Amino acid sequence: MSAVIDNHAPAHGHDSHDHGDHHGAPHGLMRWVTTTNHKDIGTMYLWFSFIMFLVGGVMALTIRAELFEPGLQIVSPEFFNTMTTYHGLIMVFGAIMPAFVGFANWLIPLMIGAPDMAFPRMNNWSFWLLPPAGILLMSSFLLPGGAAGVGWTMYAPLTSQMGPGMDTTIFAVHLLGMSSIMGSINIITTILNMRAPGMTMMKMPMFVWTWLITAYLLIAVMPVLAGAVTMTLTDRHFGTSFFNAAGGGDPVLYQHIFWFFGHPEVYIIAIPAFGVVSQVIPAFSRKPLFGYASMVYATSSIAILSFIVWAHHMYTVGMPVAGQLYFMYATMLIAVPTGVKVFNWVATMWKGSLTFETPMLFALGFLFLFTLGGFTGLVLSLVPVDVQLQDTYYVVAHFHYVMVAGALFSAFAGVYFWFPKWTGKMYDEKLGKIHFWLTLVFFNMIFFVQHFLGLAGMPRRIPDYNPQFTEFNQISTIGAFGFGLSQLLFLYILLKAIKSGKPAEQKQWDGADTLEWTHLPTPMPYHTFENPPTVK
Amino acid sequence: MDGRKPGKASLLAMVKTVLSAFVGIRRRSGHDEDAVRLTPVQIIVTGVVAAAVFVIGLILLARFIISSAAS
Repeated sequence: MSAVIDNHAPAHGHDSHDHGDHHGAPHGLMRWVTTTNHKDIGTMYLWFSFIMFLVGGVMALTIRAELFEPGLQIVSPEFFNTMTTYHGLIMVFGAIMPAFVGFANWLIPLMIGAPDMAFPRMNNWSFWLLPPAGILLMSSFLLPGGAAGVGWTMYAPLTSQMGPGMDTTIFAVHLLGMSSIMGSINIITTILNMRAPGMTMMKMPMFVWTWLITAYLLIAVMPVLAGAVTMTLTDRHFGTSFFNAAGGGDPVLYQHIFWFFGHPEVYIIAIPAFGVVSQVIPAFSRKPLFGYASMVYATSSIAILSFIVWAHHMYTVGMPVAGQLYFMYATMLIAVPTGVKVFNWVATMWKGSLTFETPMLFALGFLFLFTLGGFTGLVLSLVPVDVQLQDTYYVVAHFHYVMVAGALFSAFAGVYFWFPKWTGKMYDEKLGKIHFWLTLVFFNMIFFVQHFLGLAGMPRRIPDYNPQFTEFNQISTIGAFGFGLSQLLFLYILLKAIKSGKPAEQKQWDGADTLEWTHLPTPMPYHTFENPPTVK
Repeated sequence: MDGRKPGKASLLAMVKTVLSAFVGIRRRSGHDEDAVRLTPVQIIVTGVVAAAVFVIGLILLARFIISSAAS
């Protein structure tokens, strides 16, 4: 099938430019600045997120280097605070979220048989808001008073005590939020309006479903975050007292608003990760996804339930016992649909014809470790336990099992899975497997021991600690440097494959059955599905 | 399709669909039935109402437990 056809019509009727007569990708730098092609924009999102992943990773290594020994050795406590803050902000908003938006850009049009995203120019703007946001975030370090060491949650009243670095951070969050909202509008419109004939909602690949649900979540909660940081901004500069107790405000209000955004945010990160894994596991089990309809329903209900559990992040802040009990029960119950999904993935593999290429290894790593992160979440949902463990390394271990072993492993699985399709080149399978095992071992080296540090009472976000914690911290730090170096191997694998990888086949994985594998050639043409396929 | 039209599902069928979604388990036959009889709007409205009932139920349960502990 030749997808490079001259009758390419701009997706928007009012577009007066005639840029439909080129056959392939334009050349030069301006290609990337002005592109409206979903594949180009997807690629930029993925590279941006990888760069931010390395930046946030260096910050993590700074934290771990300081914690190699008790006492203060490498950085000042103030700088340590900025490291924990910007590591969190950059990894959540700069690395993981854009990575999955990159997958969405690349894959949603291909999976539903659409020629591009619904609003290609808005798509371009969604991406190009990110680099200024990243620069704004990093510029905080150069301002008087340095960056804001308030924690990624940006709690009041700390935020009112910071220098101008706080303001650049707030504006960066605004830009990131705008980008996410526009991306979500684009994704929802594309999925609802641009499916190929015959591609009914319940025939859509699970990845597309997960992004539809995630996009609604983003539209619901990003304005809440924007509101919270805007109120912080007006408290700082315009004399309001939303969160200032001295002026009649309430700092705890900030926490409620933040976590009303923050808990759905966890699912905004996790649900697209579920989507990637739901494509990878069936492909390498050579079986359809077990319980597809249940998965769609369960993902939707997880999205709804994610709005009613936010205060489990705030048990120790002070709330009535009835409130604690309510949030405890709700949090424990939300584990049920999530647990069912884990069983569905396991059932997909049951009696499957399994092979263990790199994408499958990362998907299985996700399955094991995300489940562990889910269980420690269940432990923390119990109020009496959480009162003991809040702000300890147990919490740090828990959410890194969800964020790194959940979202990051899933993103790695996705990159290895679709890389041959995207580039037409095959990566080095042996090196990919080495990357997986190094990542898996070092990840557990960093974070498994942190459970015990937390149980023993080591507080998080503190640059010093009691000498009794030294050995486990040293294990964790060595693991962190190993993990960081392993990601350079990932970069090498990608660059090597792009430069000299063997040509990939149209259907590189014989169990893959979505449209991009069955209907499109490899390497991927610049324009695809100008004539929609008919899905039976 | 055999006389059944979208939007003609009973309230019970809608509640059953949404509750099975909350648990995360749905039979294929049940899903096929839903696809014929339910519209997305019905499912979403029932889902949001069920979530509200779920929240209220949990709040009542929490209050009941506290009041019974106090007495």
